[in-house]
Amino acid sequence: MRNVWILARNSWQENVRGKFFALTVVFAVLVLYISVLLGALAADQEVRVLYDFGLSFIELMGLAGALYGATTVILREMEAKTIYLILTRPVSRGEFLFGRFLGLAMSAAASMATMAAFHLLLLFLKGWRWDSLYALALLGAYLKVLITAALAVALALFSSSVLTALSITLILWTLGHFLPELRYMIAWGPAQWQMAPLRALSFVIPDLQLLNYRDQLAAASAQRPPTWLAFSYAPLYAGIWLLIARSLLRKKEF
Amino acid sequence: MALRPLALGLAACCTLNLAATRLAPAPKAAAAGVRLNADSAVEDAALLSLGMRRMAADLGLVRLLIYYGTPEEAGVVSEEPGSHPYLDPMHPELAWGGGHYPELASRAERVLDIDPSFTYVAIYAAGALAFNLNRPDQALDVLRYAAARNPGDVELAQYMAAVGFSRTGDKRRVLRLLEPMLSRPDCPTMIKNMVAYLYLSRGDRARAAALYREIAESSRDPGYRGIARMMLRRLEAPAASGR
Repeated sequence: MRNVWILARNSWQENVRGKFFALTVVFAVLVLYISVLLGALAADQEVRVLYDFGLSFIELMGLAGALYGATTVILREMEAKTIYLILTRPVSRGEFLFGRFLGLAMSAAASMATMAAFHLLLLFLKGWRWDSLYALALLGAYLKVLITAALAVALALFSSSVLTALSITLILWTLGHFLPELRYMIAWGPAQWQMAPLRALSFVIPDLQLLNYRDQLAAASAQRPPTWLAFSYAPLYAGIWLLIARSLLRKKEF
Repeated sequence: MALRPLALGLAACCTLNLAATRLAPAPKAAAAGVRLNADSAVEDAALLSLGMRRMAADLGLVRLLIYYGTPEEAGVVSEEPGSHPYLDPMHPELAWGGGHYPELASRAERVLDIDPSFTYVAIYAAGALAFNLNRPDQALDVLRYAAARNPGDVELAQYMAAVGFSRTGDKRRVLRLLEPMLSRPDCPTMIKNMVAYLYLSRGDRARAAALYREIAESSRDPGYRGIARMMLRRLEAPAASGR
């Protein structure tokens, strides 16, 4: 466990000094610019638009950073041969993987929290009043990013290609948001044998709509999936893909 | 060699997704589906696929506001920046003097398709159709469309009643039905302006002035802020007291 923590801290420091916080600054400037524009365009609904745009951008920026980190974290060290320096010490491959992933998760959390702080400041300046659903939406977005990052790590190790892993992960991200529509198509589509591949796929892809609280803010609480289910689904699903990644890394020949 | 852990992992994912589906069945998708506007179909589809339904609806609203805020006839220029070019502030219930905006209702309905809970769009579009463009039947259609997606929304029902009474010219009942909507945090400025005018038309200058003051101080719509300031000047002018 100590090894995992050391690796996580190291990974976190690397990320924070680099791209993660650069992305945060880009986001901050973007939101400021958009908020000025929207003031003129959205009239009465300025706060809602700023709220939705901000949360969406936080998720996208968090996703971009985490995806980049997840697909390159192991492959980059394998290419640079720095992985040998770590694995020659008493560190197992599993500890290496979990340490790096934990560092990535911490960096994503710090990045998204910084962006959220800036976003909240803008919202309060525009007269918004605190609503705990904001925290729920932000946490849901973070868990979606974590699930996707875990998927990306496993796919990067399976394919040994950053580009392939990125492409497949982005496709799964999209499909994960279309899952209710996919299920509807399966139930009401043509002959069931034609739908069999789609049905199989629908059981594998992550149910990101379960965590998409941002789009369910206005829905009555009874219509939203139970919070306990969403928040236990995310670590379990991410955990499965991290275990797959660990198995792949253990069998990897450098 | 890498296939065994992958197969095991996929089996675990299947189990987890099955359990999640059983515990929280997804709400049944609307049979009508989502109608996408030709102008923004790619953008809307992209946002929906990224799980950004509310953002797609927000962009739909911004487009609707731009559409309704742009003069249909060349040469019609608004006096106030951001204000509707046809607006006659003294007679907002009669006519804006021009403009047809044939797509107003369909644009509002498309936004409701994307985010059914975004009732502000319905109220805004219905207000414009009923009180500004003199098409109350179309306004009622938009409100019915929203009400079908939000059963139990009392304010929509009240608004439908207000539009219905406006057809018969019963201003007193229209006012009584619109008044409770003022307390709604996202009550469109257009409705506030309409209520202020109704107060004025029945001689309740104090309430009208209070509402115009609220619009002038807190509305985010520069056009209506300008109208409210103008009405306040008229109401506060010494000559106005004799009227």
